[in-house]
Amino acid sequence: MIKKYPAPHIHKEMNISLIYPHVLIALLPCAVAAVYYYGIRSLMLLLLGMTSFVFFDYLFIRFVRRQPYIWEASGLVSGAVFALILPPSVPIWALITGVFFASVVVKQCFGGLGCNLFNPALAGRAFLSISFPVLDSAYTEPLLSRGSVQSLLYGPVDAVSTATPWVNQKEQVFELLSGRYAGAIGTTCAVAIIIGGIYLVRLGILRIEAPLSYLIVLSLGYWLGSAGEATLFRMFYSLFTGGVLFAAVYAIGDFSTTPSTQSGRFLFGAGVGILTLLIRTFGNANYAVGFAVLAMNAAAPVLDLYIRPRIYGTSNWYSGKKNAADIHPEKGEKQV
Amino acid sequence: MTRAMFRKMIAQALTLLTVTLVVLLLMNLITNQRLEQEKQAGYQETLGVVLPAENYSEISLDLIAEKNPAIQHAYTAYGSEGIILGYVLEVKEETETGYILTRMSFSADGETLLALRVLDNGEQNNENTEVKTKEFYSQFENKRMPAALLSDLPEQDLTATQYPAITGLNDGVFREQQDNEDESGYKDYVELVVNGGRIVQVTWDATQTDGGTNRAKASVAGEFVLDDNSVIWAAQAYAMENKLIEVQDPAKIAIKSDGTTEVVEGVSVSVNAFVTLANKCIEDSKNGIPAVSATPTGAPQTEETEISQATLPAEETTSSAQATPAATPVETPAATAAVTADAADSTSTEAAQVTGDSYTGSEDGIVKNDQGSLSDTIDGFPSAKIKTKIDEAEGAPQLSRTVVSSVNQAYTFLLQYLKGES
Repeated sequence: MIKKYPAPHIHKEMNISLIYPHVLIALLPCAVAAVYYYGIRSLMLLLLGMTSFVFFDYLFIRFVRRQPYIWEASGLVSGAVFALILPPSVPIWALITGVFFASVVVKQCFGGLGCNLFNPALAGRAFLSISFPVLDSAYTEPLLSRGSVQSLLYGPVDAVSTATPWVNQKEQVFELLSGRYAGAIGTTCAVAIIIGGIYLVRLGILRIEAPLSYLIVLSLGYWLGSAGEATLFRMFYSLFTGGVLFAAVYAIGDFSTTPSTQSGRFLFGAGVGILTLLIRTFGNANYAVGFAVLAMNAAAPVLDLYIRPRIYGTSNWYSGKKNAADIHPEKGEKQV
Repeated sequence: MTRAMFRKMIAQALTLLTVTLVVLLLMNLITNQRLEQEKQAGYQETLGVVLPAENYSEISLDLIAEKNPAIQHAYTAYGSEGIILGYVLEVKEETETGYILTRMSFSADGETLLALRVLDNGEQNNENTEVKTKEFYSQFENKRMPAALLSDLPEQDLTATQYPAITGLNDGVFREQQDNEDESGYKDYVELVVNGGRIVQVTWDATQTDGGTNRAKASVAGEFVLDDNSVIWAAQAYAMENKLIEVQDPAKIAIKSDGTTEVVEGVSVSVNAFVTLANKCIEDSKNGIPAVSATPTGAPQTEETEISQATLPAEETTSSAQATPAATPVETPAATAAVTADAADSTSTEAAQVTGDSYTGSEDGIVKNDQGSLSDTIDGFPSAKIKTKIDEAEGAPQLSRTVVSSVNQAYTFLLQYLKGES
C-alpha cells in the first residue's frame, strides 16, 4: 500500500545531529596539533572553551528564552573553534569572556542555532581583539613548557611579540606545513587543517565554493601585489599563515553564516579574500582574516536576497522576480 | 544517531587522530636537526660573547623558577668533545626605577665568573650607561665569587682585621703529635711558634710511621692523592695554617660534624686533628711546656719550602705559614693575616669543645665573633667569604650594587644546581 506524505520526499542522512559531531571530528587534527605544540594548557583551553560555550547556551535557553534545552553539538564546535584561534598565553578570564560574548550576544540573542548572523567563534575572538588588544601579543613559541602545571594558569613563559615572526625561507617548508611557529594554538598546522578539510569535503559538510574562491582571490592578490618578486613558496606562506587556511575550512564553510546558493558562496569567499587583502595591506594585519569573514557574514543575507537559484525554465539566474512576471503576465507586471 | 553510526564516527576520529599524529611527528623529526643548528648558531652569536663553546644546552628552570626568580635563562656550554666548559646565565634584577638584565658565564666548577655583560635595562636615567662600560664589568672577569662592592664591606673587614691573641701564651715553639697513626699510616703533628704572645707561625703536617715521606711532600709529589680530587693536601694544610694565624684561636675555626670546615675556603679534608693538636699546643704554650722534639725551622723546613715553591700557587710559597702582612692577595682575603706583636684583648679557648680527638663547632661552619667580620653578610654570603671586591661605577652606586647582586644570585643558583639541590 502506498501512503501519501507531504514534501520533501528526498531525505539526506546528514542532519544537524550528525553534522556538528562530524565537524568536531574534523577539528580533532587541529586539536591534536594544538596539544602537541602547546601541551596541557591548550587541552585545558579547548575543554574550557567547549564546556563553557555549552554552559552559556544552556543558561540562555533555559533562563532567558525559557525554553527546554535540546542537546546539540554546535556549542562544542563553536567553543572548540574559539579556543583554537586564541593565543596559547590567553588568560582564562579572557577565554570565558570571549565565550560569553560569542554564545550569548552573537548566537543566542540572534535566535540561537542557525539564526546567528555572525560566526560566533570569530566574533568572540574579534571582541577580545578589540577590547583587549594586548592579547594579540600573547603568542609563544611552540614546544615549550608543554607539561608545565604552572603554565595551566599563566601560560607558557616565553612570549614573542607577534605571531609567525620567523623569516619565510624555502628551508622552512616543513615548519610551514607542520605549524611549528608561534601562532594561535590550533591554526598554524596546515597539514592538520587540510586533513580536517578533506574529511568535511568527503562527507559533503564543507561546501568547497567559498573556501576555493577565497584561496584563489588571495593567491591572485599575492601575485599581483608582489610586483614580480612573487615565489610559489611565499604564496603558500601567505595562504598557510595568519589563520587563512583555518578560516577557509572551519569558518567560511559554516552553514548559518554563509549564503545558501552556490554562486553566493563563491562571491562570499571572493569577498572575504578581497577584504583580507585590503585589511592586511591597509589595516591591522593581526586579525585580518577574522574581520574579513565577519564583514562578509553581514553581507551574506544580502547575497542570499539577490542571488537566488535559477527557476527552472527561466533565463535570469540572479533574480527570480522578473521571471515570475514572465510566467504570470496576468498579474499586471511588465513583460520583458 | 544509531550505534553503528556512533561506532563509525569513533573509528573515523581515531583514524584522523592517528594520521595527524604520524604526520606531525614525521615533520617535526625532519625539522628538528635544522632548527637545532639554527638555534646553536644563535646561541654562539649571543652567548659566545661571554663564553665561546661548540654548543649550548638550556637548563630547565621550571622547577626552580620560584626559588630563583631573577634567573631568566641558564645554559650549559659544551666543548668539542662534550666537555662542560662552563655555564651561561641571564639574570634580570628589578630596581626601584626599572631593571637590569645581565648575562654572565661561570667556570665548570661554578666558582669563577669568566665574563659579564650588562645587556639591557629599563632604567629611566642615564647612569645605567656607567655599568655597561668595560671598565666596570671587566672587574668581574676571571674572578672567584661571591663578590661585593668595596663600599659595602665593613671597614674592619678583610684587610684591617686583627683578631685578639689568646691570653697567657708563652713565647716559644710548641709541637704536638697524634699518638696513633691514621689508616694511611700517617701521624699528624702541629707546630706553633708563639712570639710576643701571638701565634706567628704554624706548621701542620704528618709523618709516616715507617719513616717515609711526610704527607705534605707526598701530596705535592702526587703520592698522596685525596679521593675527591680537590686541592692537594699540602695546599689545604697551608690554608688552615694561615687561618689559624689570622684568627689566633682554633675555637674560631668551626668544624662541622663530619670534621670539615666551611670557614676556610678550599679546604675539604677533615681538620679535626689540626684543631685538636693546635689546642694542645696552645695549652703547652700556656703551661710553658716547649716542644720536646720541635721540628726546627731549619733543614726539613727548607726541603718542604722548595717543594712548595715549585708547585703551590704563588701565594702559597711555604708549607708552614708565617704572619706576613704583605701576603694579602685581593681575591683571598680570608688568607690575610695582618698580625702584629701587639695583641688586642684576649679571648679564650672555652668556645672550643674538645672531646678526645673530635672537635665540634657550629653546624654551618661559621663562628660569630664580637667583631662581626665573619657574620656580616652580602647577598647572603658572610663577608669573610667574599672573594672579589668591586669598585662601583662612577655615579651609579645603586646600579653597581644591583649588578653585583645579580652576579651573586647567579653564583648561588649555580652552586645549588651543581649540588643537585635545584
